[in-house]
Amino acid sequence: MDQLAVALVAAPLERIAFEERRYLPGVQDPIVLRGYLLRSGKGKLEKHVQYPVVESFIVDIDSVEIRGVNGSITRFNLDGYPVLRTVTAIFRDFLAGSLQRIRKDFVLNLSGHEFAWTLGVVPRDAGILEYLKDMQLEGQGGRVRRVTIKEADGARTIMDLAVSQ
Amino acid sequence: MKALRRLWRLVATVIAIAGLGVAVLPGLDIRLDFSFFLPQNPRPEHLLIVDRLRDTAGGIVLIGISGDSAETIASASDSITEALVKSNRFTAIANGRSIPFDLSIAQPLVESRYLLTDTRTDTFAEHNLLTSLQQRMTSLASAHGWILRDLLLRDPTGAMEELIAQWQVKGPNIEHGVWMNDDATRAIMIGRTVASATDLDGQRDVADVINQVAAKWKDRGLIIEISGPGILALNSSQIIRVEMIVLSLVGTLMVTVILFSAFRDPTILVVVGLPLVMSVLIGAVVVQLLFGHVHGIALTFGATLAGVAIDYPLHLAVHRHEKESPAATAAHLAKPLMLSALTTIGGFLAIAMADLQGLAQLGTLTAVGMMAAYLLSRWVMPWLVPSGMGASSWRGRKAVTFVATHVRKSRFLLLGLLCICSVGALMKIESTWKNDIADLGVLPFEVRERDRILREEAGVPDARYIVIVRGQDEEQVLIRQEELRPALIAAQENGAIASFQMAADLLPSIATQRARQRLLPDSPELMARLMAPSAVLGIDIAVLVPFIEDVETQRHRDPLRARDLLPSPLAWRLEPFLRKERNQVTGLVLLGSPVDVGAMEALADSAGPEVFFLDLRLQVSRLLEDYRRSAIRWLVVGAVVGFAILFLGLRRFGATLRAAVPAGAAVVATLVFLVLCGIPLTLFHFLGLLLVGGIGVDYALFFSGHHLRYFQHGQNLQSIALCGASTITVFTTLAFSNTPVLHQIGLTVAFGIGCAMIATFAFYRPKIQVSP
Repeated sequence: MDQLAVALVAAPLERIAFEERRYLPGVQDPIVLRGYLLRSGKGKLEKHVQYPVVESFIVDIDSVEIRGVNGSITRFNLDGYPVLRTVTAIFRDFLAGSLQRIRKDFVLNLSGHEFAWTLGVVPRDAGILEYLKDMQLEGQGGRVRRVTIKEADGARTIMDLAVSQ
Repeated sequence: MKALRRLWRLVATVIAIAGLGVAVLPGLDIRLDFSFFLPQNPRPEHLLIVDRLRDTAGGIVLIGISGDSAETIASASDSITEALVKSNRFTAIANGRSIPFDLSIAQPLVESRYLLTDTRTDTFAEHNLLTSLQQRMTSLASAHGWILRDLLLRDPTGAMEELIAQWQVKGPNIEHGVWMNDDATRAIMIGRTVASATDLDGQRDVADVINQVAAKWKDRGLIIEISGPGILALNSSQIIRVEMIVLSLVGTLMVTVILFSAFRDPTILVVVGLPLVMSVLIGAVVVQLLFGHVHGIALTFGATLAGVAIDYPLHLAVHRHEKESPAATAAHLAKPLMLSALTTIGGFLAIAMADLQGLAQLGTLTAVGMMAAYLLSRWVMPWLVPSGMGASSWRGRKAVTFVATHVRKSRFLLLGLLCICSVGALMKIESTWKNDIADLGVLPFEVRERDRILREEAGVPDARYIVIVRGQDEEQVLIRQEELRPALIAAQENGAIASFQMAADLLPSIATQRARQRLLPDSPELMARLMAPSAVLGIDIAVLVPFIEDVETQRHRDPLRARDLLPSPLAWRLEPFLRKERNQVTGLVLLGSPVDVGAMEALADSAGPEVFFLDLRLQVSRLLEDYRRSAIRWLVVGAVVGFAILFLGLRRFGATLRAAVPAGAAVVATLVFLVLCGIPLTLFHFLGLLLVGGIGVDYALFFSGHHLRYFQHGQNLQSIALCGASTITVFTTLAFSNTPVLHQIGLTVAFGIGCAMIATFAFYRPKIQVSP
């Protein structure tokens, strides 16, 4: 676990391409999104969607800003959106190598080896479990290759990541 | 012993005045709105004008942030907004950042969404359901869509999206994510306060909180400007208060110097101050009792009573003989003073009969105040005047006599000059009348300008062009607006209007909601229609069951009414468009400029008697034009009544003319001065002229009439010189005010009294000088 944390901190701040598949219960085909992620040094995480809609999703410590293609900017506090808050906090802490902080509220289960590891994240708090079932991060060295989020209502999101050329 | 007793009386009087002031002032309901200019029984469109000028959405606060780069002011806008949201002083505050739709607030809309949106016969047809579902699936790819996914599948026809677009408040340009003016130099925020616009304490609290929150940004050099109806009302009261204090202090100090140099006795200040303060207080109390409130403008004008009230005690003090008791002097002066007072009172009582609220208040306050000033000077003052008080040793007497003699010698020259100037003024007078409401207010130009700019930049509609739709109740108004909609859409398409907004766009009539209800399919039917589209898109029909249930519920639910939105913030989104007055409801259709006035008048005419088009700016101008005509009519009536009283008192036409002509000449000279200086005339100049007439008569009376021969002419001259100097000092101080009303009155009366003195001296006849 410590080795993974060190590797994550050492990973460069690079532009990461993603393909996200959103599965809704009762809906046969997933909704597919493509774009790229950016991580700033100040813990800010940017998700830029390029397909099928164009919009940016910028997560700060406790707020989110959504920039639409028409120039509209929506900014809101994450307090009212627990799934979003939890997932972004885990993701940010994880990329920063702060696994100890995640461990406080979640059970972490690391398996595999340096070149193919899987980290299971399960909420300890019953309140969080009401909306987030679990989260799984898969990767290689200091790089995350796939994130899987399972929500309590059966919705599932799989995001595949690759360094952009 | 006598002196001690008199001193005690003076102290007791000062305490009594202070006590009366403390008791009376908090009980006065002082208003500062446009109602001053309304007829006693205003027509509905007049009330509407008042409402618009007062801002129907009262409690609106506009904040402008400038003085740095667009990025910095955007950050300041976010930071201040966040702090103000937490302050609990606002029911809503926005800076342009769109906020996610709050379902808890929008619940009444969600529950009636298919009744509120344009549900058509084919909205729930199979092919349309397929298209709608496809659109919703695409929306799920957006962040908003994913967050609101439960709602999306519960509302595949997109009714909620339509509602959100309708109910969201439109603002100005967005730069760096926040509202900014066109050149991105000022960030704009719009808030609605919990405190109403008329709650000045609440507004003061709001202003304090904003200043507190903005302090750190101000320290960084940013400029934070605040405006809005409540803040302006607060500014008005603060400005008036500060100006009244400063100007009163300066005026009092200067008058003190004049009086002290004449009498060398500090008690003169109490003696003169008593009728002065009491007359305003008594006048204000009577107006409060008769009208239920005192308008700020009437009260401000009431303060000018000082100019007249100061004359009576001065006459008494100057005309004192050493061997005569104050009561005896007062008795000798009673007739000319009473006649002088009655002339002015008569004039203002005539104005008190006016059918215009503000003018009636102003006339009442002045007439009652002057009566009080006279009675106090006649009956209470002699009781207070120290037996040794007199101004016989006044050094300026020679100088005044010299001036008076030379003015009299030059009277024909002065008269000729006045005639020539009058001709010039007559040619200009029509163009100098000002019908701009702002110039009749109490706020300085810069404050009004700041409000105008912020309002314009914030895109708060100035609502110049409005279509009024009247009805007996809300439902009737909404139905009439719906009937009007096709014509408005056509007008928009033809370019007669840029846009329109009305209540029926947000809240359809009950009839329309019922009609839409009848188009909603029942559950089995809707499920059957959804089977094919859901199969095409791979959606399990079970996912759509909440949608089917919602439609079924809305088939039977009671239509939404405006009252159902209370107390949610949705109610105030609707509020500016619907107005309940007595037994009638008025719906406003706000038209976006440019507007083809002729086309819209024709549209309203063809829509029936309950629909009419209003150009508010034109209406305000017309109202003020009516006001001017009416006010001048009443001023002429007042002058005639004053003249009649003078004639009744003097009983001889010649003596009446000798008293009235100098006053009349002073009024004409002042009017000519104002016109030739290009000063736009307002009502307050004319009221000032009436006061000049009254005071002019007061001066002239001391040189006409047999009863005045009792006094020495030297004393009369001295008395007038002292009265004139004091009054001119008070009103010159007032003329320096930034408040338009005070400035106008100050300038008119100060100049007018100077003219009245000159005119009186011109009629000065030393030959009839008789000693007692």
